[in-house]
Amino acid sequence: MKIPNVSTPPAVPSLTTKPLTVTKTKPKAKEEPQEPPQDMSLHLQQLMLSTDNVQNNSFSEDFLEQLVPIVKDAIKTKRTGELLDRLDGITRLQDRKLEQLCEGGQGDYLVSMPKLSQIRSGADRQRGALQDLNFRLQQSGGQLVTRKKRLLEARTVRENLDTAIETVESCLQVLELTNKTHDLIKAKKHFAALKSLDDLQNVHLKEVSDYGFARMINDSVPQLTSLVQEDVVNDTFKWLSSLRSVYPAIGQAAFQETERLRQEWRDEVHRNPELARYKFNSPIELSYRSSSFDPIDNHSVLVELDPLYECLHIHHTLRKTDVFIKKFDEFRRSHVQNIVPTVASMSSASEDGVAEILQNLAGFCILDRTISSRTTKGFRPQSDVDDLWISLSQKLMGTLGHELASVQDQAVLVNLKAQLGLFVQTMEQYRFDTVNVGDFLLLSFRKFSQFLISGFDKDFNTGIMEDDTNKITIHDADRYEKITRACWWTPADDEAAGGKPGAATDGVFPKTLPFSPILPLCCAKITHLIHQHYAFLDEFNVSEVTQTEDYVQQAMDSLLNDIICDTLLHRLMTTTREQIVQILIDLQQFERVIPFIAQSIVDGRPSQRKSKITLKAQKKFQQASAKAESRIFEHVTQTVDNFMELEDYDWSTTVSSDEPSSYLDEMVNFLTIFFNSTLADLPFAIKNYVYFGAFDHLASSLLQILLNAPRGLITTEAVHNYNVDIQYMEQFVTTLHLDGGNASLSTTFIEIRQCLDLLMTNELSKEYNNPQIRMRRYDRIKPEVAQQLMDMSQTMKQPQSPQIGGGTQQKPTSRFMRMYRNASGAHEP
Amino acid sequence: MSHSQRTYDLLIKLLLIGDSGVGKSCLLLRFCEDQFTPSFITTIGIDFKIRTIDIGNQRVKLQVWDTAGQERFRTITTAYYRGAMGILLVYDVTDEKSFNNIENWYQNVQSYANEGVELILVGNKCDLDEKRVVSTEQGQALADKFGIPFLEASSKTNINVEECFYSVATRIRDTVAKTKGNESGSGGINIAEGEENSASKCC
Repeated sequence: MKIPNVSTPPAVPSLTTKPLTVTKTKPKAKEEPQEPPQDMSLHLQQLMLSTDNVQNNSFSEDFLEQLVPIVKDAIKTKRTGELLDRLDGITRLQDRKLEQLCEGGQGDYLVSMPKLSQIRSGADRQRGALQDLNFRLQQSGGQLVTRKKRLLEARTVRENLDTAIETVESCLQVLELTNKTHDLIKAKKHFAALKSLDDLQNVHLKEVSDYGFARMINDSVPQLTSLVQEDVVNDTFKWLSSLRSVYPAIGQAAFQETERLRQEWRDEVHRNPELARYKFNSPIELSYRSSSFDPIDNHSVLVELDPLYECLHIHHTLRKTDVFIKKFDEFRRSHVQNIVPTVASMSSASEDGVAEILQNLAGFCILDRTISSRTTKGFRPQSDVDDLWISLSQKLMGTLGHELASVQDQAVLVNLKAQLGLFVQTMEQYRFDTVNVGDFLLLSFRKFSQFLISGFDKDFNTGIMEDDTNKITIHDADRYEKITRACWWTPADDEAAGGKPGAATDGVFPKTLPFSPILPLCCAKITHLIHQHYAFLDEFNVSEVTQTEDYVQQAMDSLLNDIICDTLLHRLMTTTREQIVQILIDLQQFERVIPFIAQSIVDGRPSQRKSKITLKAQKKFQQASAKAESRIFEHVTQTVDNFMELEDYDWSTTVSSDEPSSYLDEMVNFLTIFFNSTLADLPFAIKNYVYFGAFDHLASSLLQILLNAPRGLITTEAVHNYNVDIQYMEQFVTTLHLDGGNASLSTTFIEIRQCLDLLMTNELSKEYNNPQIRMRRYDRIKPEVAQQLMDMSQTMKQPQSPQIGGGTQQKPTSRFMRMYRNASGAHEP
Repeated sequence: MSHSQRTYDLLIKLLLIGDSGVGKSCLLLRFCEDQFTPSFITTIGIDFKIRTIDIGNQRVKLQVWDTAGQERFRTITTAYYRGAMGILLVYDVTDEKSFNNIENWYQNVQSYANEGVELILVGNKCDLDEKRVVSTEQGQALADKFGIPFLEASSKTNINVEECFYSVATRIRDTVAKTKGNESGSGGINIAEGEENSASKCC
């Protein structure tokens, strides 16, 4: 702002010159509005009026002072000219007044002349004073203007200074904030750092955006932001890595919790047995469960997720959550590598090793699940958690499966199963799909079953080697109770097997049961085996249980078939009749107990599948029994054949006898003992079958002997003797006491009887050719046999002496014996 | 079957006696079927097996009766003494009681068997050396006392089993041959001829 040039140099000291100078001055912009000329003349008039009373000569100060403002005003209003005009006007007026006065009176004029000169000199003085004043006024005004100008300049500087200070302060604030941000980053206060960065960028830096340093700071903000981001990610991963050491603790705590819950459920089931059919982790069990267990915040573990939350928050703020999600998943995946080792040794020494692996894995996955459920939706999708779990569990199964193959110790297997079971039940609680582990459990179950079965096989073979295939004899009630219970033997069975009614419960010992010790041994072992199988399933879930139940059934079936039945069948090859008979009885007893075993299999099932099953072994044992029957049949037939080999009929004898041949006598004695002892315990149906078979075979053998008798040599005595033998056999057969009567046994000799009758009749062909007689008496004789008999009859020698049926003659058999006795001189009774 | 079709020349009936468990059935099983079973199977009552052997030029059919050693079957078993031409008295070299009981068995033979019956004393299970309690000398001494042959055998390892049976069978055959020779006056034996005219004693 320019200071106006208020005064021009006072070149003209007189009033007359004033207007010239005054006119040159420029009016000041801020001058007050021009006073109307009337005012000035008015003032002057007033002034004149006021001075009228004053002596012209006495040009007082007072007047001057009053004039000054007018002059001033004139100067101001640049009307100095006008003023001068006025003043001139006034002067002229005064002159006219003077003239008038003069005209009016010379005297006055004369008088006034000096006065007038006085006034004139006064006016000159006044003019000089006015000029002086004007000069002084000019002087003082110039100073004022200068000072005023300086003041204004100073004010501007000051304003500038203020602005500068303000700016510097802003800069300082920015710098301070920047430093603080760095400090915060250093102090790992990531979010605070990020916030101050944000403040910096959005507020503070804008104020000082013109400065280079501010631009630099501004440029560094994204780097700092990413630094914070990286830092926080690194910190989070560091934190996550540090959690590695907590996995086992998380796993262990979760396992303990599962164990506690299981115990609670067992207690619950104990209080309310109806619940027994519901498994742990079943909806029913869950409804009973009350647990406020936090897998990462409990008595033994405390994991704060704060670092993760912060990291998430930061990424969310930065709108870079996607990046972090990806990184996080990658990190978790990379972390997986060491969770499950590729090789685990399952020797007894490192069972803890498996436990460690399981704890570690469980901890890892449970933490993953917990993170997933306790963070923003979409950060850690459950599907990622599940994917990771599946790949981990597959790896685990691979590792364990490889080792399972080499497990040779049942205890190790049981331990492994228990650990895996606990593991499965725990993981199920965290909604992990345990189907992989379940499959492995099935595998281990099979292995376990194989152990049990091979153990049974071993025991069974030892047992059967030691078994003498004799009936079991029990000497005390306690043992009797145990054994009969083991093989489901009731007094009714006892009676069915030929025991006297009430004998089973009469308390008299020793008692003999029809089966050999191998039966109760097997039954007890199988019952135990079934129990062991099911006990192994304790921790299994329902879907696995169903499969294993079927497996148990198959295992028991194959055990009965392949181990017991086949072994017994193999032992049937023996030629010892006692053994064969005992094996048959044992086979039948096994047949009897198999439904009970099947029932045990069903009863023991943990599931609800309780419908009746039929074991394949049932049929197999039936077949085996049939085989044993035929073995006995073979044996009896063989025995008969052995005796028949000793036959030496003398068909040309002329001596008739009423005594049966000694070989038949021996056979009858032998068979009587055999039937009454060895075969005594056989069920009626089998006895009937064996006896019938034996006598049928005997009868046809005897008939063959007759039919093979040398033609032309046969004497009637020989036929008579032969007939005595047949009668002896017929009689023997009728004495055999079979419960169902002997009718069927007697029929075995009908054909030979008819043949003999036909042979001994006088008119053989006549009788046979008479259809009625033939139908009545010889219906069993085959035509070709009848023809042979007719041939035989035609060549038969008639008795040389009438001694038939004399009864005094010795049978022609036993010649060796007689010969021998004669030689050794033995005395006959 | 006619005489001409017969597959043997001589039938000899032998009897095995001795305590339960000394291995009579095993001896028989080894002799007739060349088998061995370690299981102890109590013979019930009486059993027999047949084997045909050649002695010299004769086919000899041996019918060997195996008796139950248990006391409860004594009635049944003694009935078979009479029919026996030869008796094998069997004991177990690892069981002193069975050896001591041979005296009783010998008494039974004296009471029930034919006078001329051929005997032999057999010490079975001679393979079980570490369990042996009856020495060969003791066995021999006892046999000498009775004036009968003695053999130690093992059905398990098949030692002397054949010899036991052959020993008795051979002696019986010789006796029969001698009698036949005396009766018929000829050196050969033709058993197939029959002996209708021989003594009329009943068995």
